[in-house]
Amino acid sequence: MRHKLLAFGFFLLWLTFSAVCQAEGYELGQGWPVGDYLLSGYVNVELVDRFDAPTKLDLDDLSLFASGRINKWINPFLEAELSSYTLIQQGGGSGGGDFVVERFYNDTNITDQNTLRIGKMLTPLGYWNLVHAAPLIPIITRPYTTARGFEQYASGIGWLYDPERSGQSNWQLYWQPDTEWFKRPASQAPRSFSDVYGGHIDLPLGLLDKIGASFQHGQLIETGETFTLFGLNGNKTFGKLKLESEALTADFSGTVLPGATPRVHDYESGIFGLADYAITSKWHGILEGEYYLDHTVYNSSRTVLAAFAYKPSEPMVWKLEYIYQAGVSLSFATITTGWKASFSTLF
Amino acid sequence: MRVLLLICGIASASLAQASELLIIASPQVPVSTITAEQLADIFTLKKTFWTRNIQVVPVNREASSEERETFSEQVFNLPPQELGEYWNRLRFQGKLPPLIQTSDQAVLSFVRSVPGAIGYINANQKPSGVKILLQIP
Repeated sequence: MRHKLLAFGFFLLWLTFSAVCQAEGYELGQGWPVGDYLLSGYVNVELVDRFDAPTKLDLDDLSLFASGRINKWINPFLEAELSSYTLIQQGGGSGGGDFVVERFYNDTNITDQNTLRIGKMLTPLGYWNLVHAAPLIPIITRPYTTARGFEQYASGIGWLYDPERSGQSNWQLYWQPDTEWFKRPASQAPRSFSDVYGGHIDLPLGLLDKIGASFQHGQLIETGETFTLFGLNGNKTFGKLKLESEALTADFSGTVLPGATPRVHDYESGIFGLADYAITSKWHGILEGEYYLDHTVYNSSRTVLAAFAYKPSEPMVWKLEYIYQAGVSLSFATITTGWKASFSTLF
Repeated sequence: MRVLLLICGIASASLAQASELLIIASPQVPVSTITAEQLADIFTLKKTFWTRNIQVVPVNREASSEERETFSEQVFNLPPQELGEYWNRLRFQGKLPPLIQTSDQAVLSFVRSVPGAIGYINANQKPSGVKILLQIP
């Protein structure tokens, strides 16, 4: 399995770089057009020094996108990736890693403003979940609020409304009638969901700034509980300072299945805030804090993070951050006290 | 002194010309002029069809070009990096950002041959076989 994953990784790299190197005028980060399609992707390598585990160097993501714009009816999109592959770690050992089909859908442009999407798509819950590629987000450690308490992918049908003029609100509805297609491994998706539906609305405050509200309802397969979630998100730029925040609260109900982790609260909630200051056009200083209360544990998890990011060119970023995590360590914890460093680039 | 003034005048005129752009489009597009707001809607991928059967195909210059910098500042009042970030985020959401062409001649050739294409070139060019929709600033 390990060798197959490695082979797939090298195949993706070969496919991408052999193609782009031959392309006249190719610029890193711009993708490679092939007829009506654009091939592109990103790579993220992470050095993780947790206080409770050996230091390791991971190929966190090697992701390839293929998007097509054929006509009004056929506009496919595929994202496949090799993730969490340990390249080297303290005490020896390498491997692990998963091959994941993250997204696979087709968009039909019913009108210029209305799009029907069918397939496996990201759920528009907050903003981070829609744009979580490492080179596009300010820090390495993804807040729980942006990922943990909801279905990140909907496998089914979606309706997107995007007005023709900038500055007007856009919205999206989606429905997953059953379970996730191309299901991700448990290491990446410890909770599984079914019968999910939801929606999101954004009010733009500028080209990059916006405030949004989200809703999701569904069932947790492992516990049999149903949940209803509401979320708010916003980001605003003040000159060199960018502020960003997301918050959510979810109610859980129903009898927990025998053998499943019992709930100790009937709700789950989280909030994070992030400030990103552009010291120069290439150097950024970032502070982030988060509070998260899981519905299966009594106490909350609190996190404070300080980071620097260096962007030598638009698609490329180096990051270094220190995370201090207090309170309870959640099951399937992805946030623990320690250092992280990463290099990522779009290609 | 007069020669010096003349040289300065010619230099400043050529610099001013380099910061002006022509917005050009394929002869098939059903418009003959465009406003800066409509241009912004096209390059933010808000407007994706000219007519029922003709898709809008925006064409960009490479990130390091002077034309791209002028376009970003004149149309969006943003540095090229921020606009690039916007397009990168759209690309991750499955949308196709404007295609890149790395010279005025390449933009011109592309726009001339692709129905629905729209792009920008330095105003010192003398384009033929395309519609000129706007000059900025």
